Amino acid sequence: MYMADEKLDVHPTRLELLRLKKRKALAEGIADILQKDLETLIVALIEHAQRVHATRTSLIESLTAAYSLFIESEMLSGTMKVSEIALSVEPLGFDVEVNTTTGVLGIDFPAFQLAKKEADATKPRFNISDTPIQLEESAWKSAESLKFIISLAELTAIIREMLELIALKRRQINRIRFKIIPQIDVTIRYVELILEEIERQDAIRVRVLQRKRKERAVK
Amino acid sequence: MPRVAIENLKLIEINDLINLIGKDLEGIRYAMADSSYSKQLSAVSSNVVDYRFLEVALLQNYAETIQKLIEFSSGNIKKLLVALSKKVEVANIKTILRAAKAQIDVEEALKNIVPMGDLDVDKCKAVLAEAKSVEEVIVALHDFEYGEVLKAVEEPEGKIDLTLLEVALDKAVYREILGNIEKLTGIDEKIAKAVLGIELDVANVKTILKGKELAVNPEIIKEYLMPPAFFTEDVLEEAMETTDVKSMMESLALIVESAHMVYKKIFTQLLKESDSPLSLLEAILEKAPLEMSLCQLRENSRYYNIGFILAFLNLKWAEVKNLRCIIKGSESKIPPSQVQKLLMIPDDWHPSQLIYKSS
Repeated sequence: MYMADEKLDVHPTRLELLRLKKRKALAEGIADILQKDLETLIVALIEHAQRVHATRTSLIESLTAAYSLFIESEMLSGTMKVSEIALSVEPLGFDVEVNTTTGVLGIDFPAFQLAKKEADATKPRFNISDTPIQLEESAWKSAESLKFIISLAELTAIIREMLELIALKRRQINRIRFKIIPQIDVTIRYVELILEEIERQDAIRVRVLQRKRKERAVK
Repeated sequence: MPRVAIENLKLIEINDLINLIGKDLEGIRYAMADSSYSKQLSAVSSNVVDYRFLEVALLQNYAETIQKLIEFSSGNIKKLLVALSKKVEVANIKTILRAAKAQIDVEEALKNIVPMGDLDVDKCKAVLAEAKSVEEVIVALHDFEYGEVLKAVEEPEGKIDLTLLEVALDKAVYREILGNIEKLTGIDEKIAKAVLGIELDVANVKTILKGKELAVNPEIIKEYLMPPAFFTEDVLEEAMETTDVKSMMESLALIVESAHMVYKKIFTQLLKESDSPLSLLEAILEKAPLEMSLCQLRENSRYYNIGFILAFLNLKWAEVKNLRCIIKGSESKIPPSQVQKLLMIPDDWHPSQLIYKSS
């Protein structure tokens, strides 16, 4: 006998039978709601996966452009000079702020935001009289790539969370459908059986009593 | 100048240069074995041919070419060449400053230095070993020619801006070059002013274009401008005030009406391409000193004069840059068509013919 087939510990009464039937209806209702949540989550997951694909494509394009411009700047000004400039320029300060945002089904998902430390806007980052524009453009593209990287990290975190939720919902649905409802079914059948048995015994008892009453009346 | 020396100063034919595109590094080195770079290339280990060694070999060749020209020149022309050689010296000081800022290892930083003039390897090594910050480099160079220039760069909050130090060095070199041009007379002065003037004008126009693209305040852009040449300070200020690239080019195109035909050619081209990306405009501008050099070679190459030397140096520098571009393109497996687009080639450049003719 499987665990799912183990009956619940209940008194085999009509009242209990009614309660069990109500519980079964409720469990089926919950399973339906969970199934709908699961479907919504799967749709949202697919949407996010598509966004991941689009963001990853944008990131690859942005990084390819940054790399290609960097190589161009090296071709024009020489690797030695470009590496010196790249190493001596003030680095871009940035941080990632992690918040939460309400998403599908009102669930809180992580939200990442690029927090750039304000650079000195009054002065150019590179020496404008001695740096090829390609290096500047490469730096812009690299900074742009950061946004895509953060966005991709956020989507990955959301997808991971969604997958956990989907797994949880699946477990809950499975538990209801394959454990709780079968248990209730087994118990209902048990209670019905017991009640039928009691009814049969009562019927026999009634018939015996009726027969005895008739015999007494004949005497 | 002795013919033997002239032979060493040959330039690579443009067709030969283009034929190098797409070859691997070993192939490029082999193809250049008979060129004027053979001495520096033979110093490169045959086992390890990498871009860095080749770039250093090219820069060394350029520095040695200037040294040779200085050796064979005299009087005011020699002084002007010495002033020009300081561009390489200043590049070395910039390397030292950047190395100090980035905390680059001494030996690693020395690889980027092309010894020239007073700033030899030992001196650079001593400065790099002694100075651990930009401020300390300035102190270590106090007895050097540009020590005062560096010291004069003041920042209101006491924080030294590396880019302003670099600009100050470039300005000092150009001022010295212009000072030496003033000492020349007659046709030499005229040629030198034309060749160096267009270089300064191009540098300033490029700076303004880049400043405008980056939305830099005009007052800040001014700090990055080199000494003015044909385009006076007023003209440059007016260019900075214009709203877009097209109107800037329109105003400059009007001014160059009275200038040398190379200016007219370049600025007509720039006006036509004013909607193009800045990289294309920079490429057009960078061709201007070359065009002027070729023009001066055609007009004044009957005898050994400053026009010949300055034009040759410009063509040589363009050749070094083109070779560097080809080598880097080869190392990074860049498609040949893309490499060719980045080369600095004037429309009618036949270097060897011109050099032979003048010699």
